[in-house]
Amino acid sequence: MKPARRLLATAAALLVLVGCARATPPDGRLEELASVDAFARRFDEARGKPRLLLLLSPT
Amino acid sequence: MAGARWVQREILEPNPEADLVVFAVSFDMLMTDSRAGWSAETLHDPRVVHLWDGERALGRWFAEQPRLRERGLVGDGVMWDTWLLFGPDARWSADGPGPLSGAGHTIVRTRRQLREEVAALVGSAVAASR
Repeated sequence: MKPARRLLATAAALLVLVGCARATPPDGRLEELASVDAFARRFDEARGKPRLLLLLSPT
Repeated sequence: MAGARWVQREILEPNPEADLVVFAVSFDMLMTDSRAGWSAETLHDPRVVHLWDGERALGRWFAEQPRLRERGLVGDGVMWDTWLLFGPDARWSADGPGPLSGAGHTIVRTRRQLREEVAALVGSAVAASR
């Protein structure tokens, strides 16, 4: 494989890895809530849609 | 968790086109609770954002808000088994999120109100369901 193509393939693989890391939160689909401020940012990021907040115990 | 199952079964599943975001924030409240006991199967919908609040920070924060103190505050200064609904224009300010479209505790006990409030926000699809 030519160096340029190898570089391109490596970059593409890295992009896929970074994308997977961002799309998949730790511990499966359960993300850690870092702080109230962090939640406030998530809340505002979803502005434009109705938002339903459920405060739950897991069992 | 019965409330979460009800939301899945009666709000989300019958209304796949309803364009809303559900923040499901879980934390230990009962003796039997643990993060290991959390299951992704209870609320399994792409519109749900699952968050684990190990410090109960959000439940405590909401419990301290004067305008919310009367809504769904249950023991130990933590708001839980509670739903809070916000419209598309709501934003988080220094006073917290608002305006509040509706709230209820427990989720199961106030499920009719929850269904009506969600229907008012996302359209008639939810209202048409059981």
